[in-house]
This record gives sequence, structure tokens and C-alpha cells, in this order.
Amino acid sequence: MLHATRLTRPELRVVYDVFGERPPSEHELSHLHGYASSRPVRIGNAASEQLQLDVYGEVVEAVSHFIGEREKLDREMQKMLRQSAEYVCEHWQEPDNGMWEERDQRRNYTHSLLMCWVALDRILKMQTRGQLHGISVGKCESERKRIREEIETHCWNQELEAYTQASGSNVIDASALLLAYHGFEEASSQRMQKTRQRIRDRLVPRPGLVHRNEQSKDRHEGAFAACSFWEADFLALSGNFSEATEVFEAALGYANDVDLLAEEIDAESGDALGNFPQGFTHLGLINAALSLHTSEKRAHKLERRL
Amino acid sequence: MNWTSWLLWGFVSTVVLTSILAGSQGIGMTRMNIPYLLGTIFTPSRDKAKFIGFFLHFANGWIFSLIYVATFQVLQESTWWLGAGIGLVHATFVLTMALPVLPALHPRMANEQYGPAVVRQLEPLGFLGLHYGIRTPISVLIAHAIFGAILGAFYVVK
Repeated sequence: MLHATRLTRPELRVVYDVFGERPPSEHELSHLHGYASSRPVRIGNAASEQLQLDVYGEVVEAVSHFIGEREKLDREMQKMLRQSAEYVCEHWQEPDNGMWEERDQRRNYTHSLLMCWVALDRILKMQTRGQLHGISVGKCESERKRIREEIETHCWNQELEAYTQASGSNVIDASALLLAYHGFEEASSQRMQKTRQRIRDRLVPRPGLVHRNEQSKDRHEGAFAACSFWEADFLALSGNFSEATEVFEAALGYANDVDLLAEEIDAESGDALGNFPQGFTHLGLINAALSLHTSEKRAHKLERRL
Repeated sequence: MNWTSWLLWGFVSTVVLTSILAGSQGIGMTRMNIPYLLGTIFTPSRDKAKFIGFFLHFANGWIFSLIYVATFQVLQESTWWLGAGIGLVHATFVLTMALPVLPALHPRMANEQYGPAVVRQLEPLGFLGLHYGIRTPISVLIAHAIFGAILGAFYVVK
């Protein structure tokens, strides 16, 4: 990671080529029809030129998991984290393209704000544990607080009674489930339960399938496989073990004969769509399985006590 | 052979060479950090590797400057452009011969002849060091040309 991002730090890009450079620009191949006429056929990835502020949270979260509570960080790793903290403090208010790499306009996505909050939160925790030195604690704490206020005030839609896709938005987006996964808010909180209910009403075509957001649903795209596992994960974190298991198993039913899943699933036919196999989907699967395991253990413990 | 002149200008030119290479990484020109690559031959610790590698690179620079000085002595001439020319030849040798064979000598560098390993490894530098960024050869050529130019300009032939 340190090596891959060397040429752009403190800025982190979404995509790098194997030499640490920006990959070639995206091109449309208009002469090709694509699988099942899924035009436009493109090569390259427009995300290489996009801004996604969530990457800082993903990287810092990965470091935090990797080192645990006792491991130490070497000087270069600490330097990268300090740079990330400073970058997030300066840039979290900027609109970006978000995790879904939307092409129409930049917004203050709830998920991007969440991951900026995660970056500062984990950095402050590493500092408290003595693993990281030299950060501006006061600045990180005050910016973390401001991000929380932004999410709680402007990403919560009073009318819909749900966390929405972005600040001031009325679009329901499944990524709001991740607020609980990353510890921003308890899954059992009233706000999160209402958000999940709204997602269930608007984005779930059938059990085990979840559209990523309302724009995607309106464009008649497939259900986004990772979101199914986010829902299972959320239910497990809420303590709803049986429903979590149902959603998890229903989602697993869309895997092929060697248990691999695609990026999307056709809500009508159950066919695999998009990238295949998709790492992001399997990451959601692993996280949901771990949450289910923890939830199951907790349930057994409670049973034994009773 | 003018030993005092070699000791002084060999030292100065190595300081400048090391600074240019470190600076080109700092400004995002290349991912290559020669002291780190040399140091990791002896230790997996990132912090210690840079420390050990710094001294190794320094010693290398000083030793290599002997070849430049020997050339000046043989030709009985020492000019900045002659030194820069030798520097360019030196850099070309490093980029085309030394860097590509480094994986064969380095115990912690991945080898292009084998697949991925469980243990984390350094990326091989490749031909002209291009795996570490497309501007890597430029920084190496400039650094070595200046290294040679300093030696050529200030070394006093005996």
C-alpha cells in the first residue's frame, strides 16, 4: 500500500496501475454490442479520474484492523496516517463521486462522510493506544465531531425518516446500512431501524436481493450483491439472528456451482450480471458471515445464562 | 592519484547524488528509494533498512567515484562535461544491467520468474526501473550526470 500510493500521497486515488501511475483513460467501444446488449461497452475505468473520499477511511480502517491493539507502526506508516488525517480534515466537506462512482454530479455522499469519520475516529484511537504520534488531536477531534453533526443533521431525512444517500437528499441508498457496520450508530437505534425499513420498502425486490439505491433501480440495473450481505450483516448486528440467516442464505443461493458471486443479480431471472466474480461482493459475504458468527455465539451465551 | 581531492569531492558528489535520488522520491517522480532497497537486503524492518541502506549507498557512491577519478587520471583531464558523460554511462549501466538483475541477488525482492509468495516482497524494479514509475530513469540519469559533473569539475588531476 505504501509502495503503491507513493507517487500521489497524501492524495489517494481509487485506481492505480501496477506501476503506481494513473491507468489509461476510459473509452467506449461503440462497435461492440456487449453481453445481452449491455451497451455502452467500455475499456478502462472512469473512476481513475474521480474523487472518492471514502478511500481514506477504508485504508485507515484496514491499518487499524491489521495492527490490532498491540502492534506498533513504523515511521513511514505513521507518516502516511498523519498525512491522511490532515487530508481528511481539510477535504471532508468537498463533494465527491462516492462509492458508486456516479458520473452525473458530485455530492456530499453519506457514505463518503461516514468513511471520513471512520478515518479520523480510528486515527484518534490509534493515537490513544500510543501507536501513532504527532497528529493534531484537537483538530482531528473537532473535525470528527463536525462530520458526525453533518451526517446526523443533513443526511437524516426527517420526512422519509431515514438516512439518505447524501446531504439534503431524498434518495434511499443501501450504503446507509454501513453506518452501523462501522460503529457510527448502533444497529438497534431507532434511526437505523427506520432506515433499514425504508431500504426494505424501496430497494428489496425479493428476499436476499437489494438494489444499491433508487437511481440504480430506476435505471433497471440488477440488484447489487454486496448490499444483500450488508443487509444480513446489519440484521446480525441488530441481534436479529434468524432474519439475518434467512437473508444471508437467500443471497448465497445466487452463487454459481463453485460458490462464486457476480457484482449484480437480475432481480427477475436471478442471473449473474456485471463483473464476475466480484471481490466486493465476497468481501460483504465474509463480513456478514463473521457478524453472524458473533451474533450466534452471543445468542448461545444468553441461552445458557437463561 | 590525488587522494585528498578524491576523498573530498567523492564525498560531496555522493551527498548530492543521494539528495537528488531521495528528493525525486519526495516530489513524486519515482517510487524508488535506493537506500531502502539496499537496506532490505539485510533487514525486513523498514526503519532499520533505511538507516543501514543510507550508509551502504554512501559507501557505494564513494567507491564508485574512484572509477571516475581513475578515468580522469588516465586521461590526465578532468572537466565537468567529461564527468557528466561518465555519469550518464554509469546511469545507463545501472538502469539496463544492475536494476533488472537485482531480484536475483535480493532476498526480499519478488522475482519475475516466479509467481506470488505468501511472504510480502518488494516489487522488482524492471528494465530501466520503470516498475517504480515512468520517470524513474530520468531521475537516475540526472542524479548520476550531476554526480559525475561535480567530480569532473572539482577533482584536481595529479
